[in-house]
Amino acid sequence: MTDERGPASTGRAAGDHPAEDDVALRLEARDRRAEALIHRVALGDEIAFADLFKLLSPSVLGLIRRVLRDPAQSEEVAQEVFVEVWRTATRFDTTKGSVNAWITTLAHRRAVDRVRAEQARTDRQERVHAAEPVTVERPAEAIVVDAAEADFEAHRVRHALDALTDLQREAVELAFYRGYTYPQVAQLLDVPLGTVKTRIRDGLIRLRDQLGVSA
Amino acid sequence: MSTDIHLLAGAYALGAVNPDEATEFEAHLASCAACRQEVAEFSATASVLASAVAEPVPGQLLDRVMGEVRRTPQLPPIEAPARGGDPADDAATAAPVVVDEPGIVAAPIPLAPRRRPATTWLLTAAAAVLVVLLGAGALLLGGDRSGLPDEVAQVVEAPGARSYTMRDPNGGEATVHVTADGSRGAVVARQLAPLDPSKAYELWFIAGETPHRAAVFSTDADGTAHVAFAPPVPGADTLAVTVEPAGGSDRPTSAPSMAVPA
Repeated sequence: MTDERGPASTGRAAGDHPAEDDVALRLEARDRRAEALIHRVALGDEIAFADLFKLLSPSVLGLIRRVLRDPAQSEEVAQEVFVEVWRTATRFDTTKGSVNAWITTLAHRRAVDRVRAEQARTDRQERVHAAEPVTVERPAEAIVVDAAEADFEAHRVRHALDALTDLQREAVELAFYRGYTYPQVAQLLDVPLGTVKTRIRDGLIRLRDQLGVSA
Repeated sequence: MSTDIHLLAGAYALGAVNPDEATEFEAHLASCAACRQEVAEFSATASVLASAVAEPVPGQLLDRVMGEVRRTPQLPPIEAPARGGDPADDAATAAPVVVDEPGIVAAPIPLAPRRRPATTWLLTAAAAVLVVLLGAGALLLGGDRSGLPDEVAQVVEAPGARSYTMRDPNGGEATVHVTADGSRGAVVARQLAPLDPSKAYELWFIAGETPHRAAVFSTDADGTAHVAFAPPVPGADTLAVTVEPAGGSDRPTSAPSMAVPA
């Protein structure tokens, strides 16, 4: 698969918005910090583990709660995820992707597994409704989210999602933020399976390019 | 097999595939580099989607997680870890830990105030400390190396590794081992008083007047502890252990229970 993408196409040049560039740099530094911490966690370093938790738990908990809705269950799943990170940090392979991607994928999978177990149990019928917009809440809590960073990320994602067609965006949001399988999305949207697969994949391609993601 | 199996890469990366199809797709991934690349990129994209919904985290969740983590063993690595490179940003250079001052450290070491009020850290007889054994060779407490976790044994047995033993007044001992190049360390402790779960022992490398966090650990019921760590600084004047809240502190909040010049 060839790749002729240019530099990250966020629609603005570095230097146009110094405050946002500063946040972008901070977020990159955060990712590098996560890489450094995971090596120490693999050596049994509890300080490093606590620091990694403080660094990533806001996005992990936020993602899980988008899928699971219930705050208590969301905290349980977040705990499972981080204990698993501790347990298997020794096996983490840096060549296979970033720490952040590993942990958020793990969190998403666990949240989706739990919500699907609930769905199977209650067998609820759902009507199609628009996926919720991306928002960030900020009550006073112990591990706070930097407001500038949170707004930057939310804005960056919203901007990227806006670049998708309505149909692509809907499919991606239902599959990711709601945790539906693609056959369930097809059922909800009343479209063929192949159509949903294509919309999700095309949507991700565009998001990947908009967000300047590489792997 | 479906001819549009490649189309599943997106749904798969988002976890939106049923287990049977996931297994089938994973079999496909084994032989399709293009799909592996796409899945990696889509997973990375999804993690950015995740960071946009970050929310504040209750402090009690950290406490519960740390509590469970301290009861949870880690998996051993699959193969001998290739630790030629240094893990931490602030990890050691090639300089070994330097022995500077013999004897009991008696001078007060002021602490930089952070989230706690400034505390002067006095190492005096009344503060229940310390002792000083300069271990030029490796003094392994208890003599039984077979019980050590691999990453600890590797440091202890590394050629040229230095060790420093300290004792507290209750008969507890902790030996800090550091490899010759200063890149890896390990603590082997025994007969330390077990702590309440809300607390932990913390090891510090003190360079000049600045304490640097090195390791946080707790003991088994019989007071033994084994932990490997990355030394925070290449040279230290003193090594010391204090009791801190679980998870450790950025600066010592109490006088050390034991210390040793390094």
